[in-house]
Amino acid sequence: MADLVKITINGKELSVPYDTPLIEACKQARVHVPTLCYNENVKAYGVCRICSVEVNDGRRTRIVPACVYTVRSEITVETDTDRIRRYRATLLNLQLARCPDEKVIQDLAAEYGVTEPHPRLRKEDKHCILCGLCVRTCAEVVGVSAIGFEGRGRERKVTPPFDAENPICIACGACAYVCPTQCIEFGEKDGKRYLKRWHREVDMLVCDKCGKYWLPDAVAYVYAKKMGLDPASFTTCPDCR
Amino acid sequence: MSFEPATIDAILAKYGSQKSALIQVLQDVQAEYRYLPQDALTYLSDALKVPLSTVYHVATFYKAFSLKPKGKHVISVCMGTACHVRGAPRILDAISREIDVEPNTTADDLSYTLETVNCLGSCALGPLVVIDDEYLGKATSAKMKKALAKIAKDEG
Amino acid sequence: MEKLSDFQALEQYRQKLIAARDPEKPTITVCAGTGCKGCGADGVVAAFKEELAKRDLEGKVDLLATGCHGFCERGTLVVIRPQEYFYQLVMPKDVPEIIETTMINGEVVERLLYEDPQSGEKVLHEKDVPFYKYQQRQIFAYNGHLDPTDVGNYIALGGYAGLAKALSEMKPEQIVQDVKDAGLRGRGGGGFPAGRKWETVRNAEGDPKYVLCNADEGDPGAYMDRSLLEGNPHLVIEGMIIGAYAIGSNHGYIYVRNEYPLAVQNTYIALDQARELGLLGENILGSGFSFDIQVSRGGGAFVCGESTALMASLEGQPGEPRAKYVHTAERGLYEKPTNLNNVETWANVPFIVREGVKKYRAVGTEGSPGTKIFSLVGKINNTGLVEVPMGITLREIVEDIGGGIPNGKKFKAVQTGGPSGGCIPAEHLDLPVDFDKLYEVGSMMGSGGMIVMDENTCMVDIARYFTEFLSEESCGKCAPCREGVAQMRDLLTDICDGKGQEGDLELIEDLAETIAATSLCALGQTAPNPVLTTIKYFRDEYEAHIKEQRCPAGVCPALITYRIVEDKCTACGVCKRVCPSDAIEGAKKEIHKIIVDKCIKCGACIEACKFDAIVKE
Repeated sequence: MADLVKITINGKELSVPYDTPLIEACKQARVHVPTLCYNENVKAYGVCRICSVEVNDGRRTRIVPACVYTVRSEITVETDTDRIRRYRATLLNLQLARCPDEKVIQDLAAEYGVTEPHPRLRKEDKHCILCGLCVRTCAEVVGVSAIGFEGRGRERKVTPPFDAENPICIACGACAYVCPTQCIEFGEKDGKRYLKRWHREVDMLVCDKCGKYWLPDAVAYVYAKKMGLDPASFTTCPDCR
Repeated sequence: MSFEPATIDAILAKYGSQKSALIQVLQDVQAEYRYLPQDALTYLSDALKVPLSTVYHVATFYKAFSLKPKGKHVISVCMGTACHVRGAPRILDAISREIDVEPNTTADDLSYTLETVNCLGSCALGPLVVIDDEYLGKATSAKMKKALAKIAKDEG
Repeated sequence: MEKLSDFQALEQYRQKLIAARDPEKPTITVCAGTGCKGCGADGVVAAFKEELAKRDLEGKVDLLATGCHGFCERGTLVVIRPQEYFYQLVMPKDVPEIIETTMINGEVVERLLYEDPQSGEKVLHEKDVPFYKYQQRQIFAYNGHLDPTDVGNYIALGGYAGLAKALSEMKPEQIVQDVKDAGLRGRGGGGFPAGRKWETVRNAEGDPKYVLCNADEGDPGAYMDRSLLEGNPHLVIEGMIIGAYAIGSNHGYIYVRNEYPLAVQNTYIALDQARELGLLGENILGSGFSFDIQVSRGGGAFVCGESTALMASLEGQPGEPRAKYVHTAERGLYEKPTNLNNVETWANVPFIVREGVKKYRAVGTEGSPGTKIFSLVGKINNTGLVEVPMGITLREIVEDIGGGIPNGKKFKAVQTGGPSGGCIPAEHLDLPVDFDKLYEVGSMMGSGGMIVMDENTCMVDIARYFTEFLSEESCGKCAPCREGVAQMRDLLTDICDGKGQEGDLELIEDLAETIAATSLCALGQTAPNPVLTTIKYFRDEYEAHIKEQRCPAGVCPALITYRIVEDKCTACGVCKRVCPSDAIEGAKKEIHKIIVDKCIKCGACIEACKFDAIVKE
């Protein structure tokens, strides 16, 4: 249904199409809602819960994550109440206890008055916040699903299967770019491109004209296959073509 | 290869090779081999056309599955509330000490697997311990010692 | 068995089965549910078979291995019909005497009768045993009367008459209305009005529609659904077929926990037999309505009892819940309209259709009509499954049916609703049990687990236990549950270990509020309940742990010491022998002593001592 629904966000009235994600509606109203796991280019996952807001549908007020909740009726939304701020502070406290050295968490936590995790919380030294952006990007945008989750609960991790190098990973680096904490180390060295976290190392193709390393062979192979091209068409780098 | 393609193919056929049957398929494979061999999971990923990363997540998400071979004798201690209130944690410790295996691990020589289970639904028999599919109700550390001694003896 | 082509054929078959039975024919009914199997029921059945053959009584006495009778504390249970003599704690070696004394001589084996602990009187008939006397067995009525692997038993007792009535006389909309009017509320935990859910699915856009049965029963301490599926699977199947017809679905699934092998087995058998008779499958009883059910086993994950996680699991995915702002009734399994109900909820349906709304509402309360099956376990004399009308008080359940607390101990609290529920202390014992009343005191009905606790149960340990359970079972997807519940568990563990600090309770309460408000699914949202209710009613216990490093109930190993009471010790040496850490010293004829530093509080000595000479303090 492309029908428009009238809603109010932080006192501002606006109309949005039916089924618009609330976080997008907030963008439209120029209301900033913080988030760690949302990216409009992949399916909303709703796991960091930082984007939680108060929604009143006329019968009751609920706390919902703005990224997965979609507008289906005339609601009144408050994104920054004392209650919401308290919840965000606690959530960030928990994230900080897990990843104390991550700047993006520290910065966001500081906005809610949290400079360090509560002394009685058990501290870890992790860097991944399990937002799943890398997994979703690899599955939906790149289309190879080279990485995924392992286990459940406190043991949950993101890994390639068996935590071993996965040959279907084309080393495109999309996961590294989308990661909010930049914890996927990604670079090139000695003619190889590597993604440290996934134990992935891929040979780079050498340009037959200038001799420079220019593209992971895995990328060439995958795209040649997808586009019905001869893999040999990737042997010349863009500068020399 | 740690598995027989024919065996896995038969299991797949039983469920019509449906993607949705992945968990049922894995259960049958687990029952057959006492664990899920890595190459079997890769085989299934190809056969069902499910990304290996998804198969791997399913294999590591559910407690029924093990990526490492289980021991010859599997001891399950129920840690449900009723059993807990009747002293299950102490029984678990007693067994762990007796066979020198940490809870939820398998002995290095693959003799025993000691695992905890969250409620088997026989709460009147608590504390409940299942050894090789035999239900031993109203467990005490003395009874456990006896049962384990018998197994050790039978092993010779 | 021949396919039943229409409703008359079913009735004729039923009459034929009834005529073939002599109601006066002696029948030995042995409970062969998983509980009694654990007490040796298989051996008892085998012994009866052998003895009946030996005495040449095979044709004259029927032997029936049934599903769970409910009084699990006294397994193996045997009921002799038609006299309804109730024998308990039966062992294979008792069988020849039963045959000789009761079946042949028509007399009673006194020592196998139930003895009332108060009066010392022996009780002869099943219905007079206090455990059963105060129950109202409507759903469990036939568990002790039929062989779950023989559909004929179920039909002879009136089975599938509800289905026949629904298909032959009623319109789907009428059935939905009846279930709404009956006020049937989900028995799995949520208590949501089933009829309203059915109506939403019926009216939702999308095809095909699915009808699911949640038999994941993960609450530790609850096993009602196991006993229903093991003991009378056809009751559940009949309910599902009626529901599917009312909703407009042709595809059903029963999602059963992997940890219930007998329930899985009996369900498979029941489905096969129903198909054989034409009660399931294409053109059921010639009505034109087609419906079939597949069984799917769980993989071992409590979270799969949550509706969206269950559906993900059915789709072959990890059991991770997802947002439900659009209900699963509209977008559920494979994004299609799906109706999910619990086993016991489905089991209530045939009665409503067959007997009508008024009769159904005659039992229970206004807001919670009908009965509820509870698993009464823990520190209680009569452990087992009880079916009671909604509105009965906790006191009646604990004292009249449960027979009170063993060993002369005092009632302390009862946990209802499993890990999502709360503890209810003695001051609320006169609370009538129904959905709304339990919410009022901060707990919930949940699936029906009722765990009784006495003065030697530490409420901090209980809170820690539930939080540990939930932390292990958390799918880990959302941060508040994954991180928050684990942090609560760590704090509670510290408190139990005597390492709690001032401010810990406030931190727990703060975490609890955020976890409850922001978690993705009901596992996380209700995780704080056990902690918060125990803090509410037993704060002093927490404070003793934190401020005094003392466990008043004598449970937390780090806070108790084991001591041998000198004037009770007989120097028998048994404790010294069983001690796994050489923590007991004492020569022959010398009063023994426990070396506190070496003692690991395993309890083996207390277990072994025949003179009650070892205490925990």
